[in-house]
Amino acid sequence: MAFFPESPLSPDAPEASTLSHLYGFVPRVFRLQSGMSRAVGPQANLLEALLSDETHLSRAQKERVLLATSAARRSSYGVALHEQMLKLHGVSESEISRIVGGGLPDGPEGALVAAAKKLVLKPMEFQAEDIEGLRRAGFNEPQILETVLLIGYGDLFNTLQFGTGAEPDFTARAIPEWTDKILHPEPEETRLLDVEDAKVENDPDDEVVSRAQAGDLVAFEILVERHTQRIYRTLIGLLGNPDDAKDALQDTFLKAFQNLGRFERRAKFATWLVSIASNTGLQRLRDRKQFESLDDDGSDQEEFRPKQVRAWGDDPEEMYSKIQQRDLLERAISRLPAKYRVVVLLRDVQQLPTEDAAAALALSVPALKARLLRGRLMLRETLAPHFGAEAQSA
Amino acid sequence: MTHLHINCSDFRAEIGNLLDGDVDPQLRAHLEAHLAECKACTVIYDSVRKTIRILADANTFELSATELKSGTASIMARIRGLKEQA
Repeated sequence: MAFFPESPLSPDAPEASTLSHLYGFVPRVFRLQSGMSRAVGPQANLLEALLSDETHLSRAQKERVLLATSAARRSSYGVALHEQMLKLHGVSESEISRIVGGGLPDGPEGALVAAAKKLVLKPMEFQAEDIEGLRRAGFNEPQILETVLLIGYGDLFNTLQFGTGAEPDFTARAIPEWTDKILHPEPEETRLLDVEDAKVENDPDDEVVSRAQAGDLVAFEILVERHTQRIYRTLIGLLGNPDDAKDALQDTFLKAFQNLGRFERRAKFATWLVSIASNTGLQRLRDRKQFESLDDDGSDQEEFRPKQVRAWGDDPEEMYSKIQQRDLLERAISRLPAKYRVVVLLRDVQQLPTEDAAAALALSVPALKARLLRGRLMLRETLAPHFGAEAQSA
Repeated sequence: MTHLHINCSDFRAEIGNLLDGDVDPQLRAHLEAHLAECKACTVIYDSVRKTIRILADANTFELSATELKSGTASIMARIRGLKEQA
């Protein structure tokens, strides 16, 4: 039973039409506030400001944030309302169940839900690195601020619902108990690749990793030798200079050693290491005075217009000695912005599969592909004067 | 086959997928038809393909054997230090 008398909002009141426009009806939480009707208008305006404009986050993304906020607060009212809205926006039943059960949806939305859970349940532990997680998932600054505002509003809404005793407008589902693991997630290095529950098979490092996990330092040394080259390239890709990359290489293996017990084989060991390297490299970038942003600023989607359109010779490799060629390439790669450089190095130099490179950098596959294409086109542009047919005949 | 007009910017957006063999046969046919009639896209496609080939073979940013050895040694020394502290 609700704790206050319920009365419909006057259909002429602007807030009634705003709320109906946003939800298709006036939710009961607002109808229970008739004793303080002057407070409903500002709430409706705030909601409209947060929900109706889709310049930054889409409505479906926002509803996921609100669903997670309500599930974290165990508000069956909010869960029922936002579930209904998500279904209207075509979000699947299984994704909704996953969020309500404390899990994260696939793709960048996972980062939105993770931020909502943490800010609601552990606000004192919410830190700059949580915001960085949103940036790395591809969200820009206005989108991130919008997420924080939505979570703040979601918590106000949930408090109002508990305090007014509003019963759900729709059939409410049970919210499963959130386990300790959901409330105390593991550190980022190990969580990053935790999307798939299945353990990977056929990891060539498996046997040596088991020995290292049992405390065998010789086995760990084998892993260091095997993966140093790959990790170094990842770090050069992020940091752009050899000295920094060599320092970060040491830190990466030290962190891997300290976290080895937490490696659960949900990704290949090599991919797990690259993701630690990527976190380590990003931390160093942040510590630098001039922070070269890896954020998605929308530029990946803009069309890149090639300027060099003269044909290349058939065998550009034959034009220079191996050493000259390597020097040319290293200089060209170094000139790429960091966010393209690291992707080109992982995919085209190290030949990491698209999915593994995306997982290691915590990017979606489409975001990775967009950056790879841009990086390849920019590199081609820089190399063209050296490899064009004209250069060949000169 | 439905008619689909591919312009240069459509083509360039798909270069990566085409090179990675990640397009369905119908789209591939349309992309190849565009290539046959567009010289600029042919040059770009061909040179991106060669760029990738060169990148795969050039061993860029490779640590020398000496660097690998000394790097591993200093990592292991720090790890042994950690273990002794613990």
